[in-house]
Amino acid sequence: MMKSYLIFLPLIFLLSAGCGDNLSTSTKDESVSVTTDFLAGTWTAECIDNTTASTSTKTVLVFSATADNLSSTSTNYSDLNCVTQNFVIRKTLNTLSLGSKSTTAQYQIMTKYTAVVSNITLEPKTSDTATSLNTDSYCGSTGWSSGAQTSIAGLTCGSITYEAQNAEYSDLIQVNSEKTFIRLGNTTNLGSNGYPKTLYTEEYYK
Amino acid sequence: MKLRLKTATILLALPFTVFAQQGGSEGEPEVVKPEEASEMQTDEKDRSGGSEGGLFYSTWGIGVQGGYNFTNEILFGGDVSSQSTSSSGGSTGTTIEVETNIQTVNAYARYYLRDLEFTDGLFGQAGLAFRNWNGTGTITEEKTKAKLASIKMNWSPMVLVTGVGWHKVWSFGMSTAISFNASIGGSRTVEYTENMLRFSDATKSNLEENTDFPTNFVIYIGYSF
Repeated sequence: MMKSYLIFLPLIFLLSAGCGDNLSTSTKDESVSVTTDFLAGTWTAECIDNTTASTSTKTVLVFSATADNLSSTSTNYSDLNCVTQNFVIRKTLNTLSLGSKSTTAQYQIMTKYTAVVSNITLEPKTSDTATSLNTDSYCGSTGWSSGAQTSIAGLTCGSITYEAQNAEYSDLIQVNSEKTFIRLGNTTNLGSNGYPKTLYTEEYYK
Repeated sequence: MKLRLKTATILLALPFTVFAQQGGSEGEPEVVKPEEASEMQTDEKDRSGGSEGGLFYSTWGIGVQGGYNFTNEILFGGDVSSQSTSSSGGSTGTTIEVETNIQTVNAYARYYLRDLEFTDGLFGQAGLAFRNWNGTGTITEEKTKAKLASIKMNWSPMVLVTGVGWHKVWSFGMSTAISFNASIGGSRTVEYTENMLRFSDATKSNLEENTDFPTNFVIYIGYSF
């Protein structure tokens, strides 16, 4: 009788040990390494509508052949379908330099880059827009006229303060694994390291 | 972990409870009513050469089970089970899709404690489980369908499985059993692939914990013939 119980002892021991499977893990980094060759060229975002303001915006990025210069042209439209131009904001960056990969607080994989601000300009595309900007003393100026580019570098326009000329510029680039689009950091929301904490939602396609 | 500790405590205490019940019965002769005696005789018959088969539900899936009573105390058995799960969810613009496929073939030997008075068959068992277990998971961005990250899981094809359980064969042939088993000696690999998103340590440990199946609780119903 006692012998019968002895057969249970090793089983009970093994069960209580709760052995299970030995775990081994590995992590593969298949995020894209951003290069100047990859960036060089024109990247265009889709038209983004703002139903609240009944306007829309379309942005085009142009990286130079060696991707050390970046020109960003953001056109604002007075309709929801990017048809009638309101004004254009142009930002040009020089001596762009790609940095290392980093991870945001949301665990998104990014590539850092730094550059120097060459200039940031605003150009009203219609007289109505120019009049409106003058009425509001937009960026502290009353000299707006249709078709004329005015530098707004270092100025505060509405709720945004633009970088000054020759200021250090730090930003992030996100690329999808299929290398079909890029995103840039939200430079109006910087972290303590000077880089954006979050990304703009718009994608740029070549 | 709490469940494991509780189970271990119950299993460790069980033999002593059985001894205690037996000790009590030695002092006072048990009075058996005539109608109970006939049923007990049926339950306590020698099962050598008998067989049985049935269906079961378990942590590792649903399946069929069969067994052959080599002697009154020893049963050789086997079962086949399968379980496929797929789920999708997500948050803040992401979609998470997870799929697991678990197919198990189990061969085991059981030893029954037939001489116990209070049960038809407290048993211990040990055997081998042949597994075809794998799982995948992907996280994609809802808006662009871009792949953010993915995971691949694989389990070793063979493990030792031991367990204890209780088996009741009714006088009209119905057979029921429950058992609690644990796998030993297996391994599994989890491969994380990061495309646009890093896996946090918390996500990894949560995922590894939720895809660990070291124990198998089985509820069986069948027919003895």
